[in-house]
Amino acid sequence: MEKKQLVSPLIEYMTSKEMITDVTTPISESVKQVQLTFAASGIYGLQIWKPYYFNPDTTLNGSTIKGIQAVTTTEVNPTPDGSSTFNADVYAKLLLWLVDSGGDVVTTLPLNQLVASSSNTIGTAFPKVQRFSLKDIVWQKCYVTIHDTVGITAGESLYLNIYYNDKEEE
Amino acid sequence: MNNLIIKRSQIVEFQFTGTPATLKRYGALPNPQLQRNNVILYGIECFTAAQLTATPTGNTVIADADKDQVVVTLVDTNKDQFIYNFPITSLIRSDVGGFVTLFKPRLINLNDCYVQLTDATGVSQDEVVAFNFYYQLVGE
Repeated sequence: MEKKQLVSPLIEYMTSKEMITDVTTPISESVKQVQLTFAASGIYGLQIWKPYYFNPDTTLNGSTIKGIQAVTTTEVNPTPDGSSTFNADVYAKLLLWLVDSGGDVVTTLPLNQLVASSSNTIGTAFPKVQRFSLKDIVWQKCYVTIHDTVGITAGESLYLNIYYNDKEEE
Repeated sequence: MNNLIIKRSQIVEFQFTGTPATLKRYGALPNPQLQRNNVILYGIECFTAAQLTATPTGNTVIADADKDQVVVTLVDTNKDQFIYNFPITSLIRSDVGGFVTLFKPRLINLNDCYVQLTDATGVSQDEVVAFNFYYQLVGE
């Protein structure tokens, strides 16, 4: 007789509603990197509370965002274009704002919570990526704010891994 | 092991207005999106200055050293205090093995939720305790 795993109705309900997931399940079908490099002046000049908008991204705009990871100096440094990433401590000073096609802020997150190798870690051997289920995000409307520029240097980059599923594959 | 998927989230602040006092109830700062009683809360996370130095409204978040002096009470739309005097340390991800605290989904009444200080030592006037509420809207 086939063995069937017992699952509580509450877990089954929350799983079906995409409120929870097993942390060992695959995250997404694709992943891409998004980079935002800060400067001494201009649009990306360092300033507190200023919204730093991301560039339009036609791949991500039509996709379902399944996970986001803030990449630190522990994972990659420098980035492919040669700029430095942030160390994990700096991320407590940044907020990520994700906005949908209607202009609503869907989620506001301290970037510290998206670092897979520090506070978001089960023990030390099992870093995990924060999961999302966001179907209507418009990337050029999303932005980052900084609360405190101490410790952030012009030329350093915010570097994110965005895990996504293509719309056609959903 | 299950952990939370973010569908929607909002940062909610509870501010210690006036001289911080033990066991006084401090309510949430206005948050129109979460105060319409159509919010199904299924997870919550707390932040100290170690996770977030300042909130989107510019308020200073309490020091990490003070996290063992605060408890939170959450109330649903039936006026049920389904989380009562819960230590916020148990809601800080890095203190609970990297997990976000999950609830049986229920309609939250943010107007009636509050935090209390069990000890006001070290907490300054107008500092806030910040939470991220993970939710979906009714009908979604």
